[in-house]
Amino acid sequence: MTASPLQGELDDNVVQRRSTLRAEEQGEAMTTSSEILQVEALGCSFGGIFAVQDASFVVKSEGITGLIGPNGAGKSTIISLVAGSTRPDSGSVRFAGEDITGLKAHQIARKGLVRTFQKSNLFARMTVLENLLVGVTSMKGDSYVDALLGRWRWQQAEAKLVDDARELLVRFKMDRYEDTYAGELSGGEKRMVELMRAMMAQPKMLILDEPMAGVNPTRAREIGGHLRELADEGLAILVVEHEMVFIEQVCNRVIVMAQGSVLAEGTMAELRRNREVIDAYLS
Amino acid sequence: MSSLMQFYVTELLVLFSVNIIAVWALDLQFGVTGINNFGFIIFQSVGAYAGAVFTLGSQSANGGFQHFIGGAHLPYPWSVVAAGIVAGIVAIPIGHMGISRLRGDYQAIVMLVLAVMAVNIANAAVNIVNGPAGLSLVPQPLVQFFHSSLEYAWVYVALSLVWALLAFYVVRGVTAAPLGRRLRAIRESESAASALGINVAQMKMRVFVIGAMLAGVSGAVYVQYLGSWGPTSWAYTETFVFFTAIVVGGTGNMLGAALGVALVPIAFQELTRFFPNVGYPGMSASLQWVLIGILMLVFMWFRPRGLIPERRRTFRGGKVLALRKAPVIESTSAGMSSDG
Amino acid sequence: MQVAITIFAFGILTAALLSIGAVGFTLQFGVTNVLNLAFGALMTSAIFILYETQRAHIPLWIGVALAAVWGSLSSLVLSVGLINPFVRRGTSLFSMAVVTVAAGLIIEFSLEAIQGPQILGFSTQTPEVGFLGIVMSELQLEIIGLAVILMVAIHVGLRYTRLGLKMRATAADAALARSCGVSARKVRLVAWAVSGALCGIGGALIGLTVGSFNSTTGNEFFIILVAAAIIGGVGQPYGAMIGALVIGMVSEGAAYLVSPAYNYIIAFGVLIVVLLFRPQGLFAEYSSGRTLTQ
Repeated sequence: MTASPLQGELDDNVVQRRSTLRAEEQGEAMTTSSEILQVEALGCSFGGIFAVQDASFVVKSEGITGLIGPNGAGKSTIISLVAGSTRPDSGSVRFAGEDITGLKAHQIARKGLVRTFQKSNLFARMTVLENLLVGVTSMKGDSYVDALLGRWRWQQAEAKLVDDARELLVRFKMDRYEDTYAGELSGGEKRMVELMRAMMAQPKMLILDEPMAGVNPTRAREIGGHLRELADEGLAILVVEHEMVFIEQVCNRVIVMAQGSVLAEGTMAELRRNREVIDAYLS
Repeated sequence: MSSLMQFYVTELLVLFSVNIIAVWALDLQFGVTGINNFGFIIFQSVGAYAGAVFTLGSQSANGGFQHFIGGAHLPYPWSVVAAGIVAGIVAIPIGHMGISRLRGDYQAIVMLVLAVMAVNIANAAVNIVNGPAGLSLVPQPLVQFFHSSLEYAWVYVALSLVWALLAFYVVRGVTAAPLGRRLRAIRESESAASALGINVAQMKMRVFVIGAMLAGVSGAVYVQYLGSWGPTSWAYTETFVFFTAIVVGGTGNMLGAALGVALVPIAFQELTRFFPNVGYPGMSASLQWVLIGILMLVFMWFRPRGLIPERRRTFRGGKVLALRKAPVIESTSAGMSSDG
Repeated sequence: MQVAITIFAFGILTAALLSIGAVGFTLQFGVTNVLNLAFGALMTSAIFILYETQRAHIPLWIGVALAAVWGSLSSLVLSVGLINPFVRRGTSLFSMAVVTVAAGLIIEFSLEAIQGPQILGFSTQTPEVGFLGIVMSELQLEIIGLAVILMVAIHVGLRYTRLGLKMRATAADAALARSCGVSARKVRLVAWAVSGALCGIGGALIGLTVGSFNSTTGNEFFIILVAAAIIGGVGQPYGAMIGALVIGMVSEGAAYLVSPAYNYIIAFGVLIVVLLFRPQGLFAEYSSGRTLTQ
């Protein structure tokens, strides 16, 4: 994981303009590239009320896809359904060519689809470094056999992962928080830790639920920059967000939801021309 | 040291070992993983029962006045090992029912009811556990090799310390390894742990069973010391004593648990020996319970992390060194496990 | 047939006794979201109060009323003095359960320390009444009557009074209720007072019916009425009534048909079945912000 040449060296505006250009261009060119996530007619109801109904969309393997919609549109529910925390009543989800409908959350995470949460969901009474280490999906020392065999069995493997985690901390400029309890961090710092922790799982795709919530604009730009770097390195990312500025600058394609189903998908330019979307949301 | 004093000391040491095994097991479940096992006593009790039955031989022995199931003459230490396994097996259905999907306090109540049920059933099922009379004449292991009871008393201290060492090895191994980190992650946030690939239900179940097995070992060691077992000694209130030991001594760490055992079951019990004999005989026992309740409340209010709180784990060149103490985090719930 | 009538009649009696406490317990949980495990010890204290009034030759039903007042006051003191401070601190749910268990232990063993371990007994005798081939005492029939009156009063109170409406709203969604102007604090105080009164009455009557009691009697029956509340769905008063009926019938049936020692064990078997298939209870609603399963 090498540091991007853009990190901290260029003016923020330049970074943003370049990202904007690249995003839209990539978006338009992306119509034929491969899809990593296919959601088909997904539906789910709670006590007779449909939170999500007949929702279908795709996420491309490249670039950052945004998921927007007014409050109550069902965005968080759909994330829950895709990631396996909630069982869908109908429909299917395919990830990296495999049908993952109905699988449990931990099984889906192990297949490479990792999500973060809308409300900060860190391990509060563990240090930042420990949080990151938990992100690693499997390592020596995870099983009872390993644990009972003793330190020699897992110590080296753990040391290597500690080094990896520290590299990540340096990259995200959080290395001085290594031994801080995650519960003591500020909102923006917590978001960064969540992102890094998800990265430790070496996911094929990241789903971020409102990564900017409660984060100051400087930090938000920082996070946006990191996301673009990760996308450039080949990670597929789906971001749920309200911040339209962020969406416009960072996302290649956008999916719009309203009232439990998908209204439209495409680039921001296409969506701005879409009547329905304008009526429902963009006005 | 006079003989009398020696007997007293050996009793304290055996009780300490028995209790420390149980409390380390409960701390593994509760302090580390966040499983609210209010029915813990069931497993120690089952282990004690099995430890008795596996050494009593068949029912017809001793004039056949005791009724129980199972029954063997297992040589030491296999009777204790088998008792642990039996307790682990019993933990499987109870774990499925109690720990997976219920919220914290509801879980506590369900477990409490189960614990009381277990005693009720034991009292009524005369053919299974000899009813309220319980089991007696449990043979002392290896006693035939020793000539004086004082000598044997110290031998039993050594035996129980060996079991305590075994428990230490298991619990320490688990908590120090990456496995321990995963368990603490489950305690902190089950949803986040799931989202990172941890099979929360399975891991909780495993900890529950292993904790139960250790509790069973503790019970077996205890019953083979006491020589008898009765359903009334295993009331749900005993679980409360263990929880108090953990809360007072320090959650989530073995040293804290050990301190808790030294302070709560041991010191407390011994302290009441020295109470003046007021009121009716046994009043000091009642007051003891009142004081334990008050002690628990005082600690939960003023020092919920316990006397020795869980320490922060840092990494220096790949080795884990415990440095500073963990400060109390105001934003999460005060004290015990964090749950919804 | 005769057996059926006997089981039914005494089942109703058991159900009546259990329902008073079960509804009190579940109502208080519904509104305050705190599982009060000191309830059993409070019931025991109510039995002692009734016992003392009987020793002072106070008429029985006045004694029961005093037990109700005692239950109400002691529950209020417990909630304001102990439980609410812990709740305000953000104590986790399991820890709250531990707090209430601790309080219960303090109460129970204080009673034992004061009273001693000996078993006390009520010597109330009332004439017996025979009907349909069974014999019950007047007192038992009066107890059934009182339970019915209380259940109807609860029903009427919840459904038709403003206060009842506020309580139901707070139980369903406290935050929403607050935004509609319902003072959660006041409603909760009322809930504690009412459930405390029911605890007092229920406890006193159980002690009276059982005849002999000691400091553990309240907790013994608390476990059973908790089972009733769980079966019906904790937080659902009507569920608790149904749960009490179920336990009453099953335990009497088991006592008659199997053996008296097994009466509650088989009722607990019902509880296990419910826990396996619907752990939140038969009538639990899916209310926002509070689910028992997760």
